[in-house]
Formats: sequence, structure tokens, C-alpha cells
Amino acid sequence: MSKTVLEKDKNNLESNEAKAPREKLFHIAKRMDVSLQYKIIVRVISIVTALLMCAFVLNIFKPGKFFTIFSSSFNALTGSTNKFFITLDEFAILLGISIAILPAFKMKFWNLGAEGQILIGGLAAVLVSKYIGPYVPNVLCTILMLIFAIIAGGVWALIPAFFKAKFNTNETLFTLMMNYLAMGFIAFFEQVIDPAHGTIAQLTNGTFPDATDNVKTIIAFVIVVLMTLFMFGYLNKTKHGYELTVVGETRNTAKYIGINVKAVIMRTVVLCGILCGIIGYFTVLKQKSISPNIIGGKGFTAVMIAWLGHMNVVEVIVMAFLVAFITRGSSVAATNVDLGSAFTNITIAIFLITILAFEFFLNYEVHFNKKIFKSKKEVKEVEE
Amino acid sequence: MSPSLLVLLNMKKNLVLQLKNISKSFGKVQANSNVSLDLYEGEILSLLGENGSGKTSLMNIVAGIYFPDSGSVEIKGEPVKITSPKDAFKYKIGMVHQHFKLVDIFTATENVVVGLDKKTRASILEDSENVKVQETKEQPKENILKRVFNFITKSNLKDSADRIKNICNKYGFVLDPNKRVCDMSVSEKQTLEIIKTLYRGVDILILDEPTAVLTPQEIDKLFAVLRKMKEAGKSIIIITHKLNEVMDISDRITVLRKGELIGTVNKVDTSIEQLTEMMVGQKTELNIERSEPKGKEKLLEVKNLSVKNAFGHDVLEDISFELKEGEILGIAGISGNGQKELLEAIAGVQPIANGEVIYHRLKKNKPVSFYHKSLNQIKTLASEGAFHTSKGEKVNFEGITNFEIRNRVNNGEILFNDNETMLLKGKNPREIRELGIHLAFVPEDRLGMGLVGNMNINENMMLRSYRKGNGPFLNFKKPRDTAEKIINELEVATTSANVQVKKLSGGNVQKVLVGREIAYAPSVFMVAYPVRGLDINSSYTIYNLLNKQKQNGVGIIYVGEDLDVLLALADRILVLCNGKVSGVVDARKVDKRELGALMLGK
Repeated sequence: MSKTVLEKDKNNLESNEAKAPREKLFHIAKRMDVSLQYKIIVRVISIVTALLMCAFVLNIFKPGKFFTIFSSSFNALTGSTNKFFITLDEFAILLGISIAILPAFKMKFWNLGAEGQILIGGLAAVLVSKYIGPYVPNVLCTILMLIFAIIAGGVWALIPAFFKAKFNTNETLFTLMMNYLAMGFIAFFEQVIDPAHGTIAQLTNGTFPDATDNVKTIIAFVIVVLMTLFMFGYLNKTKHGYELTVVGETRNTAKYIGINVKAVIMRTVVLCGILCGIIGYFTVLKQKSISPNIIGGKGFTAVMIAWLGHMNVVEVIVMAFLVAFITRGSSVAATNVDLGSAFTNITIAIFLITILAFEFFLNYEVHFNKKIFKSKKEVKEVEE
Repeated sequence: MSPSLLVLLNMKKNLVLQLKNISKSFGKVQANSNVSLDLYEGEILSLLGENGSGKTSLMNIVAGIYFPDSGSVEIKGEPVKITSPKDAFKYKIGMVHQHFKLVDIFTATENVVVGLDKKTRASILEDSENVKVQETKEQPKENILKRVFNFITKSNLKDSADRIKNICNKYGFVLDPNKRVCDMSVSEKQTLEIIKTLYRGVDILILDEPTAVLTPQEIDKLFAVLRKMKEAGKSIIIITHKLNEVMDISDRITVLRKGELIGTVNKVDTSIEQLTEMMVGQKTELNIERSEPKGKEKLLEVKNLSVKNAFGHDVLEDISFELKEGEILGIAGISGNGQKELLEAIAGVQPIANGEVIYHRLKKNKPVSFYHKSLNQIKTLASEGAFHTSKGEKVNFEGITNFEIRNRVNNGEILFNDNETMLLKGKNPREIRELGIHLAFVPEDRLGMGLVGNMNINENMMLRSYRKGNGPFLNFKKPRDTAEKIINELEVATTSANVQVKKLSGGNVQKVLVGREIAYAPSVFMVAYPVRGLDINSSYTIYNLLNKQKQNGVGIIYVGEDLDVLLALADRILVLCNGKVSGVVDARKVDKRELGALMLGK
């Protein structure tokens, strides 16, 4: 009798299982420990995939040109002295901006205003060159340009930082809006300086018009290298760097331990602004002018670089180099196969999104439901 | 016949919920492994276990918040899949979580009906056994004005409010349906949570640590209500780790330890001793050594302290007490009655509206040194007559060179007449530290207030000391030594000092924090809920550390929730109620009931 009861039970169970909602195929769990080895592997796979995706997209536009993007990228790096310097310039600017926003990001102050801070620094340099330049020697003029660029960038950054510290306003929107304000300022001064054309003519005072672009690129690169070294030390070895990390991690712990959170926020963001001002200065030095679109969205690309570099100086250097590499590569490829300049933007977007998507594997692990897979296997075996 | 069989016979009850071999893991942490559990109609089952034994996660599986990795859930004999709290309500399961899930600015009624659509609400009202629902015909389209009017006057919720009143009458709850949650006490909020589930018509009610936030008197009330619900045929699961309550209320007890099922026993067959053994693996007694306080000198004095919250309400009102050297002052009170603000006000984190915190540096008849005082300060103090010499003479520095003063001070000839007093009001933690006052503080939220989870042990040691030394650079050597010392002496289970603190277990995190604060050589040591979430062994480590500090003459303020521990550990207990001192009692003479009454402000 007991046997029949058991069988009945079994039948019941089976019918119930059929009725019950489907079990989940897999579930996702947060990763606690990530070994360096695993991290590097995921990163390499993500970068290779990202490159392949870019090549694939190019292949869609121009069939048969799958490998062009790789050859172009290397061509952009080593093809000629000129091309090399253009790539170096791209790398220097991207790395410079990424490094500049790094302390704010480490403090979890999402400064999207790098672009505005650079523009306003650049504008200050331009105004110095235009209105003070004629009355002072060239060297003094360029020094004054740098000083005013630093002050302007710092003050521009201080505004959102002050409101964040004092009233806890949202820094993301605030800094973003400040970008458009900075652009508006430049458009305004373009009109003031040259009402007829609405652009700022090539500046001569303090911009070393005789020096070649390549020399200026080298100077910019050296400054960025110095900035990077400074930032590495600042974030990892100094009391300031320690304080801003604590503030970024838990504001309450910082408060309990007696860190002046408001002061740290303002100090750190002003440092970002100062570094952005420096970048603004050497942008003006090279372009000898300024316009609202002179940075061309690099402020936002740098945000991605800092984020993908996990706010770590070494990783940021690698990421900045890769992005510069692929930007220049796709730009060369676009000219080679006769595509518009928008192609560059498409490739960067695809490249960054692919790498960002792979972050998932660094943060989470996927567990498949062994039961379902087993039962499917069993079903297959039975069928065979 | 054994008593258990008798109980079984008397019950003659149906199985309503059955868990079979439930396993659940979070990453590498196995929260439950192969746990089975039965629940019968009209019984109260206690789920007993220490913190972290997997009680809450098991019940979250029943309530549809987690989905088990393996195992099955059966309701009245039928296997079901509960994938969301909505599913759980479908199967008439309701859970009251430890942290209430209520909307502060809503009234009780609004909180009960929020999330229910019109149809469900109507069907619930029809189902209701007690409320006669007027035949509400489906109106084609309600006038918008009328709807606005209804919304403003809340007359559309009248039916629901009536039903809530009925539920209250039936089970003996006391609750005003029109009271806003923000005006409610903790026990009212809990009542509301229970009513919320009853309103939706649950048969199985799960309560997660319902007594943790209640006074003894309120607990009695809650238990009376639960008994009534049980008589009405509802099944109740109570998650708890308090043994006397378990013995008081439950019919059967299921014990978990480290995620595994240890066993299920009938209350009549068991004893507190057996349950303790099941819970912790071996018999333990709350056996904390308590020495007599050493000194008699005042260390800290709080005078008429008032603190206001962000909305300008008084969270602390007119608090006054003293802390002597070498004593443990316990602070009891239902959580949220001002304990946090009190400690924060002393530590300089919370602004003080009124009153004063006075620190006494015990310097009477002790030599002056340049450690705390500059030459100029010493000169001023000397002219005020604050010093005497080792021979008992008056100190007069007039006409003496600085060099000679330095010599005399360094030789220890100049002594203080009296203890130094320092006013802490308006000073932030850093300024207090710079006065040379070693005020150690272990806040309640270890990773959110005391430590930085993403930093390693070394870096966390630096929090206290990173500012030391001149120049902009950090000194890594000393924190590393401190970290090594703490790991060795307190037996922190970690592979190295380079492990991120958030990866340590709760007990080890606490050891790191307490160790760091002790390494700071405190004179006043404030701890808030230091053993919350720790197992018994780690708890004893903490008690012993505190007692050792006490013997060294440190004044300790201990905010705790477990009254047994407070009674066994503290010398005096200050009871807070609604931000006021409702009593200061001798911990050696008072009992739990009296404390409970004081906690309620009676």
C-alpha cells in the first residue's frame, strides 16, 4: 500500500511542477574578490572585443575593410612624424583632463565640468593675451596667461564645490550647466572682441607664434607627465589624498574622525579646476585662439576614461592611451576609406561602451541553475 | 505518554507551511544549507539562533524577497514558487521586517492601502468577515471634482479605516487609523506593520525580531495580541535570539546555527539551558567579570545638555550626568531616544544647542609638561596661580628667564594645583584631539561611521593618526605596526593587514575598530552597541577589552540594547527616554523590570 501512496505522491509532484512557474535559468551574484590576474584577463578580452566591434562597424559601412582600422591605428602612431605628434597631442590632452578630474572622482564628486573649467581657463588666457599682452614682454605675458588661466579654472570649479559643500546641491547637473555657461561666455567675448566676424583672431602675444606645433605638443606632453606624477603622489602618499579618499568612501566616518568635509570638497575640486585651467592655457597656446567647441567633448571622454580606469592613475594612463589610439586610428581610417568625421565619434562610442559592458564581469558573477541544465541533459540522453 | 505526544494530539492541526531542504548562498557566504521547517495552523513557532545564523534570510525566502538556490516551499501540501512579496501575499504570507517599511508622511490607513489597486481593495473589503460593505456599484466614471474632494477629505478611505478599526478591536490593538507614521512611536509603527499584513488577509505572519525595539511592558502587550491571533487560527513565526521570550510565547522552537538546522523542539519539552546549548553549541553563561570602579575623580561632566535635530525639535533635553575614572556608565533606552545624539554631542560631531560638556584632565599634583602646554600658556597659568612646586611653595616666574622656566618644568618641579577643566562645546573632533584629549569613540555603524570598508586595515589605522607629523606626506610605518599589533593581540582572523575591512566578518571588523580606539590610549571611551551582530565569543572579547580599559582608569560610556549585558557589565546605568534622563541607577542593585519602566519614562 505504501508503495502506491508513494507513486501517487510522485505523480502529484510532477503535475505540480509542470504547473509551477519556471525557475530562473541563472542568477547574478556580486563579486567580492577580484584577483589581479582575472582583472587583467577580463580587461584584455574587453579591449580586443571592443577593437573587433569597431572593425566590424567599419566593415558594415565599407564592406571588405575589416582590418583597415587596425592598420590605420598603427599608421596614425608610426606612419609619419606629423601623424605621431597629432596622436601624442590627442593622448596628452585626454590624459591631462582625465588626471585633472581624478581627485574629484576619487572623492565621488562627479565633476562633469572639466570642459567648462578648461574653456574658462583658456578664455582668461586669451583675454590676458589680448588686453595685457601688448603692454608687457612676451615671457611675462605668457606667465600672466598661465596664472590667470589657473585662477579662472579654480574659481569656476569653486562655484559648484561651494554649493555642494554648503547646500549639498547635485554636482553632476551643476557642473554640467557650468559648461554651457562657459561656452556662452566665450561666445559673448567673441562678439565683444570682433563684432564683425564673431571669432577671435590669431593671438600673437604670449603664444609663441614662431614655435612649431610639434614643440608645443612636446611641452604640453611634458606638463601632462608632470601632472600625472604629481597626481600619483598626491592621491597615494599625501594627507590630502588620504582625506579626500575617506570623504569619498564614507562622509560620516570622515566627520566622526574630525575631517572638515566641506573644506576637503572645496579644496579638491578647486585643484581639479586649477589643473583644467593649465590645460586651457596650453590649448590656447597651441590654437592661438579660443572657440566654444575647442575641446570638442573631450571633457566627457575623460570622464569615461577616469571611470574605466577605476580612478587609478596607472589604469587611467593605459585607458587614455587606448582611447587616443583608437580615436586617431578611426580618424585616419575615415580619410582612407572616405568616411565622414562622425565615424570617429561612432568608434569611440562603441569602444567605450564595449569596455563598460565588460565591467559587469568584474563586478558580478553569473551562476547557472545546475538543476535545469542537468534535467535538460537528462532529457536529451533519454531522447537519444 | 510523553508531554510532547500529548501536545501533538491536542493540536490535531493542519500543516500550513513546509520548507524542504532550503539552501541559499550569497557569494561565498552560505546563509542557509538544507534547512527544513514545518508550520502548523494556529501555532506560534520561534525561529531561534544567534545573529548571522540565517534566520532572516530563511524567512525572506518565504516572504518572496529571496529565491532559494535549492529546496522547495510547500503551502498546505502544494509546492509553490514564491518569487516576489506579491506572490507571498497571494499565498497569504505576510512579514514584518526589522526595519519598518512605512511612508512617514502617510497616515496609518494610507500606509495600509498603499500599493493595493482598486480591485484588490474592493475584494479585500468583500472578503472581510466583519465589515458589511455597502453595495458599491461600479460607477462608469467618477467625477474628477468628486475624486479630488474624496482625496482631500480621505472619505474614499473610510471603508479601509473601518476595517482597520475592526481588526484592532478583534485582536486588541490600539491604533488611530488617521495618525501619521511620523507621529507614531516605534511600537505603534510595529502595530501598523502587523495590521498591514492582517488587512491583506494573511494566514501566516512572520515577525523579524519584533521585541528588539520594545520595552518589557510593550512586549507583554505584543504577546497578548499574538496569542489572540493564534486563537483565531493564524500561524505565526517569530525570529528572535532572546531565550526568555521564546519560552514565554512559542509552542515550538526551531533552532538554527550558522545557516544549518539544529533541530525543532516543543516548548514543554525543553529548557533555556537546552536551547542555549542548541544555539551556541555549548552551555554558556553570561558571566562577565565586574570590578569595582577604581578612582573617584570626575572625568567628564555633561551639564544641561540640549541638542536639536534638523527640524529644530529637541532630541536631547536638559541632560546632566558625570563620568568618573575607571567606571562603566551604561546607557539604556529604546533605540532612537537620543543615545546616538548624546554620544555625538560629546564627541563634537553634533552641534550642542544648550548646556556644556566639561572634560577634566586629571592633573592635580601632577607635573606640568610641554606636551600639552606651550611656554606662554604655562607663564599665563603661573601668573594666575595655577601651580605649586614639589615642595608645596607658590610658583612665581617673575624675573626668571625662559631657559630657567623650561628647566624647572622639564625637571618636573612645577605641579598643578587642581585638575584642568576644558569646555568641549563647539569644538569638532579634530579640535578636541588637538587639545590633547583622548576621546575614543566606537560608533554604532562600524563601516559607515568608524571605518572605511574599501580601505585595508593599515589604512584604517591611519584614520586616527594620519595627521601626525609635519609636512604633506603620510607616515605608513606606524599605522602598519599598530595594525600588526591589533591583529596579533586581538586575534583578528585575516590573511594580512592588506585586506579590505569590508571583507572581514562582523566580529573582526569590530575588533579592528575597538583595537584602533584603544591604541589611541583613551581617557574617555564611548562605545555604541559594540556587540551588535557579534557571536558570543567575539562579544566576550569586547567585554574583556572594555573591562581592561576600566581597570586602567578609563571612563567608559556604554550604550547597549541588551539589558542583561548592561546589568552585568556597567557600574551605573543612565536611562534615556524621549531625549531626557529618566533615571540614573546602580547597576548592581536594579533589575530588568525597573529598567524597563524607566525606559518607558515611568
